[in-house]
Amino acid sequence: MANTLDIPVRLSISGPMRANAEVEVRLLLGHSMETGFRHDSSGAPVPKDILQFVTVHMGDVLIFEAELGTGMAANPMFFFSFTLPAQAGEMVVRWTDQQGRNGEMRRALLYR
Amino acid sequence: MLTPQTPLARRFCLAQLGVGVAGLCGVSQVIGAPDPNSQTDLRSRALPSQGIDITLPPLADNSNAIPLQFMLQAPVGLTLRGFDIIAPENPNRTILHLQLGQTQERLKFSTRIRLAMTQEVWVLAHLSDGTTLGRSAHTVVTATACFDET
Amino acid sequence: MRFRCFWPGLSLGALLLGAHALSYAQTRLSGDHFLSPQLQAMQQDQDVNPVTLWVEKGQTLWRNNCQRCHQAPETLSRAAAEHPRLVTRNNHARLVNLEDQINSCRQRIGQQPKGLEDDDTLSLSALLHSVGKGEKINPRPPAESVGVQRWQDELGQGAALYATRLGRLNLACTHCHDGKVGAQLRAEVVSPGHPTGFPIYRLNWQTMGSIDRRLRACYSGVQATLPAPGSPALRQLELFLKVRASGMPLDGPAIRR
Repeated sequence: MANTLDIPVRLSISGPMRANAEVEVRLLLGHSMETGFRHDSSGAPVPKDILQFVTVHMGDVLIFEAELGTGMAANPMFFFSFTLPAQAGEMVVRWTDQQGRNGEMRRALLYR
Repeated sequence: MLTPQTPLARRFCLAQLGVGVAGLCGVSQVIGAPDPNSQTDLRSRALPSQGIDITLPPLADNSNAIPLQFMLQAPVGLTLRGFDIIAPENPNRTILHLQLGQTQERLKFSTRIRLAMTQEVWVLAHLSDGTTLGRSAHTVVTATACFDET
Repeated sequence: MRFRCFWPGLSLGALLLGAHALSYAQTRLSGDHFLSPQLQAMQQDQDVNPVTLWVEKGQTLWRNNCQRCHQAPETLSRAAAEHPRLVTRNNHARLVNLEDQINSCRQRIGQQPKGLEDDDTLSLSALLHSVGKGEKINPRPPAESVGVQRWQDELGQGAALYATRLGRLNLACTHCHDGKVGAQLRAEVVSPGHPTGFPIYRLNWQTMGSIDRRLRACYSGVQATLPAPGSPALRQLELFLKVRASGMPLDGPAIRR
């Protein structure tokens, strides 16, 4: 339980929902991505706290894995082109922060 | 300032100067060494840019959330392995390192980045044969007018 | 008519500030007009706009906490446009803004109040401002005559504060936000400062924040000592700004620099 990190996630797909169609997957993750370079009003540095790894799978198949740096904006956004597979499946987004805490979000994709 | 009055003193001074010059050469050797992902380093690699199209506003109205969009197209016969987004003037230069799980020839990607200052942002595309494409786009970063300590 | 004193009072206020503050149509522009095309595009697309994350969280919080009394959030579509309000409890009257009211409601259902800038508070505020999008800003005095006088006093204090020089820069709000609207201030253009887009996702903060925080930031901008969050001065200023913006439609929670 201490190892879980729940964050707000918005996942939407833009394009035709059918086998082999090219769509745009739009992923927005709610996280402050604190760089460690900011200071609070008393002058003390605000500690670094970022999401370090994000992976996206379609069922068991890896779509991408990414390593994030402090140069990713807060509430990071990943919009990417993607070809839907022949069989409708479940999209799984996983994230790990720099402290090793994990979370995931699953979305069953339904074809029309 | 001591002036060399005697030949020995003059030789000593010249020797000191020589050491100094040699020292400077040594320092410039260190400076000349590759600084990975610096602007100089990226430029000097002369990466082919064909196949990368970047959209980045030439004037960013804030430094915290600058929209970056790019299209990658692998040359015929090759596929994309992944990409890096690099900001040479940021304290941590690699903004994003992404590896694709599937073979694909084409990718369209959008995100938002933070930039510490005006600079060129680089997108490096890694291909299935181990080679790399690279292109940059320049943006001028402006800050908010008033200081906010909240 | 009960509000007999109101209009003369407001006219006097207008005279004090310079009538141009309340009459020129071009100064009745929302902050949206002062956003760059990129930021306007970011705002228009729900998938791109980080505000969406707070509104969606607000919907979940509403279902689990608020629905039992208030039914659908749309039943409170006028709430955002009509705060701050003068609320009297135990013979004690004070100006309360929407984030304060959210805390009041929490206590009513036996929960602890949270910070004004707490994620949950801002999520609920974002939801209520979102269902209030398009509603005309219209803060009003309370019904009973004792409250009316107090409300006018608070408004008068807010108006006075707006015209008071503050900080090391020795500037009053009116100098820039009435006198220099449209002028360039470094890389920004001065807006009239109408409170139509709260709570805001301020890129400078890289998160959502309430009007309370933004007004404190204004004090910071003129290098004045910041009032504490929730100070009466901040509520008075908020009331004044909303009366000044009366009739302008709410933008819904917006993106600002």
